[in-house]
Amino acid sequence: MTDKDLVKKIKNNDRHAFKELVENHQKLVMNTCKGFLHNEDDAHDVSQEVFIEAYRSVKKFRGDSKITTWLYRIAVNKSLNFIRDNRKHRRLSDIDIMTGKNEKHISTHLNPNLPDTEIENRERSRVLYSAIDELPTNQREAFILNKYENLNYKEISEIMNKSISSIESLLFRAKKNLQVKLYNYYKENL
Amino acid sequence: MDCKEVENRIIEYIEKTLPEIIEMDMKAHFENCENCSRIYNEIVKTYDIIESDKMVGTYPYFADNVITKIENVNKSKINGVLNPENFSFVFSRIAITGIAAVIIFIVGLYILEGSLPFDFFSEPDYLAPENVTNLLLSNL
Repeated sequence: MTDKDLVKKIKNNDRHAFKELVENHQKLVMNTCKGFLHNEDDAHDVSQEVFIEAYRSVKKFRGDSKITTWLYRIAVNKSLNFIRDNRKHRRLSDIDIMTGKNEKHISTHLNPNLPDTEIENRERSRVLYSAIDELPTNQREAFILNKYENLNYKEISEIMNKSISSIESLLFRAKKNLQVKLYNYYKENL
Repeated sequence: MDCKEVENRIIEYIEKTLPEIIEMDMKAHFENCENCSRIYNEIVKTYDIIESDKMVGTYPYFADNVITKIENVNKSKINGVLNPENFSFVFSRIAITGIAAVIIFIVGLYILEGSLPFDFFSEPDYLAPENVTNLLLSNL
């Protein structure tokens, strides 16, 4: 069944059609959320919220855009809201990491049994996520949609409601900013 | 090509979006500059984390869990609207807010006017001593 047919049925409260929609697009939503949240558990929770929101507001969906464009928009908004709402919690957990209260973090860095590559990869992840998180919101959004979902400029412009040239510019600046952060980090730490 | 130019193009080099001639210059620089080569290798490994982050499979029962959550939310909404305990809780909140508003209004008037709108503390005129005396005398 096409997405259009599925949406028609979902508007008539067809649960099977909704289930099929979720199964078809679970990966798309999860990857997008993961790009923002860097954590599989959080991405899983927020992805569920995305589909719940989609179910609630399906009657408002007019079909002007593709269903995937609509889902991407909800996923981005839900992810950004989650980050904003949990910023306080994250600051406290950062303090726990710095003061050594976060046992998981301690075990990562002090556990002599972990292979070096595992420790190095975790550090690289930390550096990458920190660099992505420091990007301005628009640049971050464009970068995640491009890199995590392999969307082209046109697709991203439809999701973000911006011109293709704006998206080109956002992506260029995002990559430049990332480049500077990563280069400076490794220049000082190697 | 110097190190600064290489620094400015590393991600384009990783993504293979540079013109061929510049790509060749960069490659030659990495072969001759140990520092840039080391930094480049680290950045490549870091950038590659994006690929390894992407989901490969899907969660089984994900769709079922979403549907269950929707059904639970619908049930609790119905219960919330029809639950009399919720209604009395809301009513008491409104009542307390109203009373608090009245008290604040009275205190505000006292502060502005320097007196209460109705004087609790002075006795009514008919209880003034001279009036009581007159009343008693008139009834004798």
